[in-house]
Amino acid sequence: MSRELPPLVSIRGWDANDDPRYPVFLDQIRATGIKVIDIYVGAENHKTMQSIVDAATADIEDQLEQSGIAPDEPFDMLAYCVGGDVLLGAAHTFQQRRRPTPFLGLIDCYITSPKARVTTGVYGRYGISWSHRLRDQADRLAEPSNEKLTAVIGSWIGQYAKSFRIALRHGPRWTRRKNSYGYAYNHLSFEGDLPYVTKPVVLYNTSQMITEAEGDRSLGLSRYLRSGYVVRVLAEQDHHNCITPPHSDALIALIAADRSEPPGTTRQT
Amino acid sequence: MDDRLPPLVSIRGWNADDDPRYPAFIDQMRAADIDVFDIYIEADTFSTIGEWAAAAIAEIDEAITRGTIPNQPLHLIGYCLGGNILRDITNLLTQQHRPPAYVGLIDVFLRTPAMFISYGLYGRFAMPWRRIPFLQMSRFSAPENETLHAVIGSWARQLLRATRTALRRGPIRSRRENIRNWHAQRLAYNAKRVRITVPLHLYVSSFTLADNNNDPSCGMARYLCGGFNVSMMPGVDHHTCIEPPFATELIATINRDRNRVA
Repeated sequence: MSRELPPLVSIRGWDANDDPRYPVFLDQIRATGIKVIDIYVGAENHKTMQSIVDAATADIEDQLEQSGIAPDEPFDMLAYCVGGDVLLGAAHTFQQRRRPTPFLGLIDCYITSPKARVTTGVYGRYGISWSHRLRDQADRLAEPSNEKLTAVIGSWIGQYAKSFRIALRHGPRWTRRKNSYGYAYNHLSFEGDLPYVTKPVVLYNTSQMITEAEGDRSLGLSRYLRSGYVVRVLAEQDHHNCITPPHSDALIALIAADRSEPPGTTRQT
Repeated sequence: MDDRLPPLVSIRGWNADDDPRYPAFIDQMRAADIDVFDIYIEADTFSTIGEWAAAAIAEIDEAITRGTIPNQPLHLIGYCLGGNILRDITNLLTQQHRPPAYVGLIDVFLRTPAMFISYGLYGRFAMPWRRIPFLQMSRFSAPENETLHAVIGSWARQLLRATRTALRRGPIRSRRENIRNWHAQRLAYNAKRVRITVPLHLYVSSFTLADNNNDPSCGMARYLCGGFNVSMMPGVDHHTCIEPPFATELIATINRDRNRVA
């Protein structure tokens, strides 16, 4: 059964200068007659991911109020890429406050796997604490990853050797961090712990990202989505072109259809 | 019956003598004009749940060869222990590039690694020692994020409790024979936790929800990488959810979900 659509709150992880594609995508959604409230909280003045989530949550409430939406009225939420971290945090907060959010949509939001965190040098690049690194790496030995201890240690040694060679050429990692794209946000994102959400979520994931996640269609998020989720696979698209024309038209239509009848809804039999 | 729907293949983990409720539930489905192909295979000869699942697939394939089941994407259902076998069946079928069209799990749960310790499941179901650390490792990672202190504390408490019980009632191995369908349950608890990449439909009773820390996925979310839908069954428990009068509603919900994927 379709419903009258509430406002769509979009959460962005990058500012418009770093990534102008997503604001353009939002304009494309607005052009279809949908009211979009765009939320962006930069990482600069925050020390934890929770602090960003709290700021985003306050911003959402302010903007909804300014738009004449009553505090008990529902609204939908959408995020792309790293904005997904904030969306899941905000969704958790609104659930605790019993504020209805009938539709939660994530476009190509992903959790970098613990293995890829080693092999892509994420830990060093974003200054991740050792306790976090150990927790992550313990997960590689656990099911369903079930990596062999020798494979895990081998990847550490391989990455250590690679980092050492790079350090000899370009200087130590910490002197290069300030040049890392989105360092502040990524640091907090990797350091933060996502809450689990107890509401069904719709994932719009590109085939490129699913392949990179070794076939995991949830892109590493399944463990947080305990009330279920639906995956819409954006075939033959990648992380960048999925929100740009011509692919964005189909995505916007898909989101509109899902918003009018949110799939994966926990029903009472 | 909806002619578009293939027969519903049901996987059972208990025989009719041990649990007559589920066969009665199947009869109720049949009475509702649903074509059900029921599979029950004794677990005694298997040493892993994967072998058990492979035997069930062989039976399905035989039915396809005979023409009892059409050769098209399968509709599968399992309750409790049968659902645990079904998870492995789903994984094997996906590996064989024949993913099922519909998979329904009725009140199926996967105990968390913390519960394996606090419920004494390792001892009760004779899990091999080498599996213990690999399962326990996930307690440190998100979203559980348990501290080393909490994990070791739970081990110490359970060790104390097990020792006290063993002093009173004898060692655990002498008490295992009192557990019904012990070998089959052992296979299920000892099953390797694999990723499932096809969408699943979970039907969860309110009792099982509460028994699994209010996690609607009942401990399975981490492994369900293809999406899943949860239908809650309020006011019922693990046993009454498949009995009349509630069974009628459950059958209707299953039918609705099967029609959606058809």
